[in-house]
Amino acid sequence: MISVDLTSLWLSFKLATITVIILLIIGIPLAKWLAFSKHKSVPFVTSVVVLPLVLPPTVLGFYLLSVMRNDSWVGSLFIKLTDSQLIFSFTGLVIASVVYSLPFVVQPMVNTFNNIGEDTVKTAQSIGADKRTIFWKIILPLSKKGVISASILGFVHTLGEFGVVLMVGGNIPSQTRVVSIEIFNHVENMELQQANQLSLILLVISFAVIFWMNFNNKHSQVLV
Amino acid sequence: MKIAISSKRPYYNYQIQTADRGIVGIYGISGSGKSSLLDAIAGYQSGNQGYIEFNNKKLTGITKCSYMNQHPILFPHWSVEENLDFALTHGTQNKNNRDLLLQQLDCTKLMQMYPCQLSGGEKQRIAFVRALLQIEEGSLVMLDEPFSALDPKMRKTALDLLKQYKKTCLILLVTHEISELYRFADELIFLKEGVVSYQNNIAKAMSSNHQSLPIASKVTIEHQQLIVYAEDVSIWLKKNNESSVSYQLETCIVDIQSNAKVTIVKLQYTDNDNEQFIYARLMNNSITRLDLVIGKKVIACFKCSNFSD
Repeated sequence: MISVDLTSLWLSFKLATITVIILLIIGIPLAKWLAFSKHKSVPFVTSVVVLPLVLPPTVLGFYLLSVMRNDSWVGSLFIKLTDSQLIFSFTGLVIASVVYSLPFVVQPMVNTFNNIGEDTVKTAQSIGADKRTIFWKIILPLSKKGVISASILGFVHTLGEFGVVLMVGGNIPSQTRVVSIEIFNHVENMELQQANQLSLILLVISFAVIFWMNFNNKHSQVLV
Repeated sequence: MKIAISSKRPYYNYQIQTADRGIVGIYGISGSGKSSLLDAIAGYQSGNQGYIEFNNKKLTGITKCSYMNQHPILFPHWSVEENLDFALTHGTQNKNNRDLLLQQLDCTKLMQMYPCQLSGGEKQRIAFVRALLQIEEGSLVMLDEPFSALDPKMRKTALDLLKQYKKTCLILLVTHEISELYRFADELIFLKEGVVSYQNNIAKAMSSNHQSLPIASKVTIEHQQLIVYAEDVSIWLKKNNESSVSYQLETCIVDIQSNAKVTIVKLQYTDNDNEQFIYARLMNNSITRLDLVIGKKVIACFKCSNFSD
């Protein structure tokens, strides 16, 4: 029987859903550009996108904290515009999650777009199709599996985020206390049963999602 | 069409001028730059220096044209029908043309199949139908070894179809089958190591003595059109009624060109007051043995299949 407060779990789901939606909106055009552009800046932008993958979450969290704190120009501008602070808020958490999960969504999409091949796109162009038609009718349908896989990866990864969340969001109940922080709190207070229940829920959900994705995508196994 | 382009990687430097209509055959060994030339014209190659002009307009970016790659690309998430309809949507032809072409190339039964279910030859035929469906008045059609996976009968059908468009558009045809270019092309471009090593109209190319082009001539004999290859022609001093050789023509030697090993003999033949030339490729010792000299009357013998133009 579950005897633990699930508020933090719902908060994590909300955070992960919003993060994935934002990542799809900015990630798809970014991945398309990285996959097909021959611009000199592509290696630089790719490195920036991939950076959160190799950077310790605390380092990333520290820099995000520096950018979003109330006395920084971003933080103070946000206060001016919304009358609320960015740091230790859900909005700040969303921004941090987007940055942190960016490579987990963009990189698989870049690989998917690369697999389509330049010649397929050029063939459509020589037939006379415009860029919009090529994107909606050819690129996106051909990369459907990759985009779904990338979204799931981004979602699951955001659910399990800890270091960045702690640095940027803090530990405010119902606002920034996501499930990973809640598990940490329970462990710290020696409430091992509650920690175990939340961990198990997260483990089962994460495994089920990844299993479903791999099951549906037999030919391109996702390695996390 | 005027082409003046160069590139360092892959290396090529093309200076070509052709008519904006007709079939231009592009020939050369593997790696001579045939596909690079078509890629450059299609706009697939970036980093070119120079310009390409077609129908008095400079081509920039990806050119709208019928371009069939060496490895034809069909959109894998669409059925054959959807692939062809995509071309119809962006062109001026209709579904009746599509159905007729599919019928002629024996592809009607493939309509609901997906590219992954097609054999190499079937893919080529579908890509060829799509290329033909894109054609409009004044189109550019580029075909890179389009029939390599087709059987001889289907190749002939496909080439006969292609020929119907040569008066309204420019067709650049890359093939390793020189006999097809001799039969169908108006002009021939020979590429070597990224440059044009030879270019001429097909009749002159056939008799050019170029080391990579077999010497041949197009002739009309008793209302039959023939391509006669010099290596298939032997010379007799008199007719032989006890031979199965179908063509034994009374000819006159008009030229003799010798090199270290072989001699090319140019023979004049008159059919219904029409003067035509046939070439014979002989060993040097045959010239002295038969005492062949300019002006001598000899019998040219060869086996040959006809073609209709």
